[in-house]
Amino acid sequence: MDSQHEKLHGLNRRIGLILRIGIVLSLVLISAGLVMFAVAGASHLAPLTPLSSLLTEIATLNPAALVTAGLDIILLMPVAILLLSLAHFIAIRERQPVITCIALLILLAASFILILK
Amino acid sequence: MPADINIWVLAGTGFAAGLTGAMLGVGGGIIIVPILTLAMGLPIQFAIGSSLVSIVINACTATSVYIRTHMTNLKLGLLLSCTLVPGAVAGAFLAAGLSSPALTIIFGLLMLYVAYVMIPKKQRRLSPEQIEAAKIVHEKEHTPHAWLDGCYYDPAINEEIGYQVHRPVIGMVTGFFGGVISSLLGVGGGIINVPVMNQVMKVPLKATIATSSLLLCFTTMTGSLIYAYNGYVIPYIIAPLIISVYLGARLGATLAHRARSKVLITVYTVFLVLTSIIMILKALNVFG
Repeated sequence: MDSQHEKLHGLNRRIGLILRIGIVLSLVLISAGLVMFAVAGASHLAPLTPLSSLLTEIATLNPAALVTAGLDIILLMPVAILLLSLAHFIAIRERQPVITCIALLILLAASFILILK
Repeated sequence: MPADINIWVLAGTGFAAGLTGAMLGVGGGIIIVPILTLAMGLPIQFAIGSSLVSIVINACTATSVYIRTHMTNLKLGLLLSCTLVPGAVAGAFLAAGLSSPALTIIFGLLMLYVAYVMIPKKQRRLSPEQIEAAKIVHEKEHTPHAWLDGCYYDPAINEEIGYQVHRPVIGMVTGFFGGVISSLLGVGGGIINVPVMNQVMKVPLKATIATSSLLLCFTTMTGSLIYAYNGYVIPYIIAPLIISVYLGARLGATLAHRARSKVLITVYTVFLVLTSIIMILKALNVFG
């Protein structure tokens, strides 16, 4: 196996690890939220908690806030994959993947701005 | 919105969706959306939002397994995501303005076509001269995007598989429509990506499925954000779905890793035909 492939395999392992950590963290929060729904008897139709009050609501063990935090972590995972890949390809100076990662990052940012508008 | 939400129906639905999604490289939304709307009476927007959110974890779980076995073609996945993400945004905005039965029928027909494409055809026998000529054409076509080529170890046949990626531009164009369909109908978009990557771009099926999971991470994340931002994601509904989808996806990814490609193609084709028939009949109001 050449060094190019070895480096790519290293990146694959790092992405796998980040994904596993994110998934476990997210599942713990979501499971806690589900338990709290049963314990606290909160409304089944409670909406997602806004980011601005997320931390304070988590501190009070609000079930919807716990689930929201877990969901936020999961939604950040693809961004984490992208940033890890970008850093890797910049480090090994591989031009085409770097351009691809930057283009995708710009597209994601533009999509988020469009969603918020 | 129904006042009584059965957590066990949600959990069962999520497990089935996770299992099939990870095994076939599709999102599993094709199971979640009909059950949430038909069996649980949820409005379609809430079903789609919940489905997309569940598919994100399904896709991330499958990707975390596949990428460690190096079956995922990361560079190809990132390139195709460049058109999938705008497609997902377009699909979510389209969802508000189009007639649902018409879309369902078109989607069902599209799935039937994809099922036809996936059926293995008899290979035409080429003469040695034709094979040599085809090789030269492929090399000429291929050189500019050699950076997308991949290789992985296939434990089912105990062999290292190297492959070249062909026609990435076609993959990117169709990827946009995969993104549109994903956000429009709450499915992963794998029904477009898998056959195109496998049949048109000549990526081996296992690498296709693994890379499709990575694509789903980006597409469904974008769609999920739009539905969540518009209030179509309810924590009590998505919590049991996400947990059960995770468990199903773990099992599905492990089974797919050990299975042979022919079995996967058969399962995928049968799945497409059955789902498309159900969708078309539902759109024509046959079920009442």
